[in-house]
Amino acid sequence: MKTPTDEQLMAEHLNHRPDAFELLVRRHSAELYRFVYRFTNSSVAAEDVAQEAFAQAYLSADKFDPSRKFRPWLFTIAANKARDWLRKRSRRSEVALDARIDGGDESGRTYADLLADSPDDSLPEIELEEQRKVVRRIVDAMPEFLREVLILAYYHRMPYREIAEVLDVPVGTVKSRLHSAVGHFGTAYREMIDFEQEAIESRRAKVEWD
Amino acid sequence: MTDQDYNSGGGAGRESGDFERSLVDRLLDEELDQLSPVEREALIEALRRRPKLAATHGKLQRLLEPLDQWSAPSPPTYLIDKILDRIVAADVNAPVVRESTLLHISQMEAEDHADYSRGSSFTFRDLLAVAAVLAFFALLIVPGISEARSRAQQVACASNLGSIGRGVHAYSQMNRGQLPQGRMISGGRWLKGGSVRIPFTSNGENRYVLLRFGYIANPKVFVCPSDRNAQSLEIANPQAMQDFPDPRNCSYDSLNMGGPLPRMDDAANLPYMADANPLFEGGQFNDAVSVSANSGNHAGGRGQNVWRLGGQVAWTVTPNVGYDGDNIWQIQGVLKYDGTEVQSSPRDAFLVP
Repeated sequence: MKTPTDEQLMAEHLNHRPDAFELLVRRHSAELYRFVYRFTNSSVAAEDVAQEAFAQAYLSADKFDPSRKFRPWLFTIAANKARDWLRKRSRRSEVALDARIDGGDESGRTYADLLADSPDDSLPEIELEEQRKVVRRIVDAMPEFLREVLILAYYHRMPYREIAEVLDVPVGTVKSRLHSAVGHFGTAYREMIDFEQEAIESRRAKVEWD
Repeated sequence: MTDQDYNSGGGAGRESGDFERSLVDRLLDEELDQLSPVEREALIEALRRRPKLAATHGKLQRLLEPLDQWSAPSPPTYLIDKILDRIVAADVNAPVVRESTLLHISQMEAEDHADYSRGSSFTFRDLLAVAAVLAFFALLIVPGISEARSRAQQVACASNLGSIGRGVHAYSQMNRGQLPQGRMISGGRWLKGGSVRIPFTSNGENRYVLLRFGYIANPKVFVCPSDRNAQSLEIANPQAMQDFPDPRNCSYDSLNMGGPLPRMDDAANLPYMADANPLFEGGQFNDAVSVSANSGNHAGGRGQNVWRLGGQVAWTVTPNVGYDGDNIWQIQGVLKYDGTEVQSSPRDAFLVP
């Protein structure tokens, strides 16, 4: 006997098995919470959106196509609700929202460009806590259409075709956005680390001067 | 670096440049676990033959490394309850939640997380808290400090096994009385090493399914507080993995799922999980260890906690605690192990990594 798949549980839920949907909640709630947390940078949003998304999935269960995967379907609902949450809070600029309409970050460099002309030396070491804050700031400031693809691919290891389903774009677009997102991250990270280093050094110089 | 710089192994030109570019793309695919085994094999071969590609790979890994520092927090323990309440609020006809066989699991978890605001009765966690306070005073006033600490850790270890055991029962309820089962294949080898013709098939995966499918929310319960080598699993999404990435993430060994298995309701006294089997410490068979030795998890090999299918946890000072005094570390009469051995019957306890 194998553990039932998500799709089997959805079928059983539609067959009125009372606990099937609850098991889906138990399986996916933690991952969904973390996805929304990273996407919105808010634990309040993560909690609200996770509840909303599961409630909608429950109510729309009869619209679920059993030949498709459950996880990307659930994430599609959550991603839409997370975007709504961000819009309501007006946390994102209009530029970022507009940028999502085209296929990629054409003005930005892809990660391949970045790798091709970055030096071999390692970046200066900074405290892990500082590193965490820098990463969080960069990802949070990324255009929405890059941020979501980076989070799904990197932190959730979602297959490209499932990401394509979640975002409702072709797989090729997923890849090009991902390359842009990694390039964007790499460039921003180097800039911020250089900036932090300069700040540290100027503080140190000031102390010595004083 | 340009495309042509990669061309140590092929001709120049646009076609070759595209090919090299696609290899660089593959590096990212590899870092994101997107390659099939065949594609991965080809990339590894390319990396071996092309030093510049390998250097680019190193750069990419360094570029991505900082992303690992941003770990998302765990959801609050009440999240599942709130989601279920929300579903009921959204649909008054919802049969899903209130009749659920799993509802009591949420309650058990709530007990585990000691949500005092709900005014629940005296729970095992409360008992543990009292034990911890007593242990604390013992540390202050009683000579033999380490003894008191060992006992407190022993109690906490038993609590861990109790939590895992509740996850096992929940799994079983949802899976028609079966025990947690990962991808283990029959005829595989549950110890690493040996002939490549017999594939390794991790028994740990069978324990990991409890985390993977949410029957257990907190990976820390797999770590015995007395186990000095242990390291709790810290990962954002345990659902995305199949097994504990590091053997140190789990201090406990469990019934070999490659052998004949009992039904949950048919073998209540069968030991299912316990502190690590000393015969296979470090993931290999140690023939110098006596079969009558206790687990190495607790200092001095004093004994081990054992969880039985019926739900009882007990501290034992001998491994001969299976049916009819059966030794839980070994198969009766088998003295050497290469990882292909299985228990002789559904009532023969054989706990392996």
